[in-house]
Amino acid sequence: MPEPILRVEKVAKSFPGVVALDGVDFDLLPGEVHVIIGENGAGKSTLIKLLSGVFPKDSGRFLIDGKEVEVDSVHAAQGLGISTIYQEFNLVPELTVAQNIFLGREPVRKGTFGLVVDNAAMEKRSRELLSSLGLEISPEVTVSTLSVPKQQMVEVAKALSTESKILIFDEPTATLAEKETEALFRIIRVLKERRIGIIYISHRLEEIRKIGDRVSVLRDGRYIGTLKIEEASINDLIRMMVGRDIKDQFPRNYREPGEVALELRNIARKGVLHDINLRIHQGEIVGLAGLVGSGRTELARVIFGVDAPDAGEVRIFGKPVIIDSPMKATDLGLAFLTEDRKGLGLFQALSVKENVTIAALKQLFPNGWIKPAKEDGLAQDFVKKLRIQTPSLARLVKYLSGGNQQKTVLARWLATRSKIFILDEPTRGIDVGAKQEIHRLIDEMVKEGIPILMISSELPEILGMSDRIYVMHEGKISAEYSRTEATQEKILASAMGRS
Amino acid sequence: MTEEKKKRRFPISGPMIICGGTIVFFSVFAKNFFTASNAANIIRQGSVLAIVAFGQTFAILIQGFDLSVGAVMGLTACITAILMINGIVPALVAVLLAILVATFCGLINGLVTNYIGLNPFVATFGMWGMALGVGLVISEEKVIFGLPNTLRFLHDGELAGLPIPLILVMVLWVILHFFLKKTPYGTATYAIGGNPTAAELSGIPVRLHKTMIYALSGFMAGIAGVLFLARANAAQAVDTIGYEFDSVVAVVVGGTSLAGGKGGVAQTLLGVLLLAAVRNGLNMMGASIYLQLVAVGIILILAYIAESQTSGSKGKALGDLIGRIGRATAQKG
Repeated sequence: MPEPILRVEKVAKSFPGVVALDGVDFDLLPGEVHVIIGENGAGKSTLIKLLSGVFPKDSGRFLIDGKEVEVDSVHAAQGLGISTIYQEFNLVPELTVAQNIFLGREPVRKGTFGLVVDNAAMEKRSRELLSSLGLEISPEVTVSTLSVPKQQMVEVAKALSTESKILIFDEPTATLAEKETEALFRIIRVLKERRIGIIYISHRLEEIRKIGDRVSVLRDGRYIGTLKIEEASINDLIRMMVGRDIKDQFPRNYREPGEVALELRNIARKGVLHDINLRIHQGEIVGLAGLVGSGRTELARVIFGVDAPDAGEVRIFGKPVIIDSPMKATDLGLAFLTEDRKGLGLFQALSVKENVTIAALKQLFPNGWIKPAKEDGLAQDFVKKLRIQTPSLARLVKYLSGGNQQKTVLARWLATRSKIFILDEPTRGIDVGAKQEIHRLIDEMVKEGIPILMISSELPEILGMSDRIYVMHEGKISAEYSRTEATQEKILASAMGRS
Repeated sequence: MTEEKKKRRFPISGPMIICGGTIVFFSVFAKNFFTASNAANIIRQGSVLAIVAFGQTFAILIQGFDLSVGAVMGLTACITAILMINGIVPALVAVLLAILVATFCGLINGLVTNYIGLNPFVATFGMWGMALGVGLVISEEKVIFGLPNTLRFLHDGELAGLPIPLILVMVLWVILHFFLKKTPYGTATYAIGGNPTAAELSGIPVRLHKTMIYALSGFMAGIAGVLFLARANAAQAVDTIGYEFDSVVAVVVGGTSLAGGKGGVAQTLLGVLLLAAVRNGLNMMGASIYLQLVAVGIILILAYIAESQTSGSKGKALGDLIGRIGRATAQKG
């Protein structure tokens, strides 16, 4: 076996309240495509960001060609020959291809004290670089006029222009169609021949087998193991990714579901959602699982009238409805807790009381005159009922903990007597104890007959809370499981399009 | 791709048309508008605005803006006048010192926005207050008269038949245009405005670069202040208030995107010409300076609508501006 160009030893990284990486080991050979897989939040992105110098590691070592190195800045990473191609492209749209490739490292004309960019040289070298990758992109065009896959190719060319020895791809095919993926793989093969080591992050187990040499699995920030691609069955990989058992940590009381509250028939939205059929009964929690980008949030947006569907029908309690705005959605009794609680769900600078009552004021005081005592009473009821921990009703919401903030949002929707709840990542960013509290509240809501659609990236949450589970993959519902059928393995397989 | 080529060949067609239309309008309706002597007039009047708007262009290119320029110009004028009248230092030294102070004001703007992280609105508006206040204090709230004639030359003089202000504007314009289009620093400026993350990840010292851009804006305001003094032949701290408004208008009318990363001093020069022509023409038609202000306000909004519509999505630029104010407020909170 040749010497690895990169070795990662016992690398750890914590953020306030979260251990993102916990002693990860990993090595990369020249000319190898080493795939890293793991669930959402397994630590893949953190590892990439440590390697590309976006933030520093807490402990552990990086060795390049056997020598320990410090990757303490983006600049340092580049100097060491590590380049990263991120999911969201890092190109400047208004500059040309050549300017982007050489951004920050422009060749300058001799005798101008580094003041005059040598455009001819820059474009010539860009052209050579692009054609060595078999790309027909002209260096003088503006990047904003290129298609997404071509922009990605420019990123690759940019990475190579720094003489990179190690190239990191962060889910490069997430935005590509199949044919474009083939083109990318062709380029990756060219890179392999040049003995460049490639770290390849992906969710798509199928394509990993096409392009990868070895695969390493991360789970909950820990390194689980490395397999040769030809020895790794997809079932093995899924088992390694899931690993844990779910203890009985979810407070659920199951009962017979009632009538159908919300039904989607053949809902489609071009390029995002395809032929979605879904039912939610009263007194039922329906989990919506899927990887990031599978269309879960997009579906919620369509249901709530933020985006319009191109086709299909929505029924509420059996009646066909057209939901063309969030206002209409709330009128019909829908409630939507967004995943961006701080940005979209709360009025940070208002008090707990105002946050609870603001949406219910019109119902409460139809003649437009607010009676403070009654408003206080309503807010107080919900603070007590949902056990919102706040020193007073007047406390500004931004000073509450994440769990109590989330309860406040829930209270607002309950105050408007919403009949159907859509919860998008209801416990994201909330610490463990408060999570259980939120879960208990959700269960209490269901007990009162409220139907709930719960979107979550956390499989244990989906499994532990749901009566039924829909799994999405690339804008389609790829599977439906009952509570008893569902397992982490099955859901993950469906989420990756392998059912 | 062909469309892109076309766009590049006529990058400033919109403002050009408005500019041409304005000139035709005033040529018809304002007597003596379309004359050589009036053209020289417009150029002299526009020169101060051109210089300060060049600096403003840079600030806007990097997704910022500089509201302090009007007050900084006044401060520069006061400092120059006081130093010259007292005869403490030679005229040239007085001018250089005053411009140095202006540059320092810009540098402070840059440091405060980029290293303390304040929104440019707060930082440069604060500097506006400070510069105005200092200007009023050192001038004892009076108009400073009795300047030696040395400065008059800057505004009234000619060189090879060309007005000195025109030569000054053209020299600065060429240098700054060259800087933007040909040097690595110019590319970095566009990169920072177009995609700050990409600039950061390409190893460009983003914060330092932005800081220096604010210093440049202060420097240009300093030059503009001195030229203004040469024209007025008297210094008053409040006289130049309003240039922050006009300079932003000139930049936007020229076609530099308020979202950053798009535009340049070439475009701004056109915006300045348009603005100067409008003010001059209205003047000749007997409109008061206040009515002119109304006209400039209308032009700003029309140009903005035009820009946001040609840039594809309707109201995008406006959306960007609102977004920026929103983010700024959020950051504060």
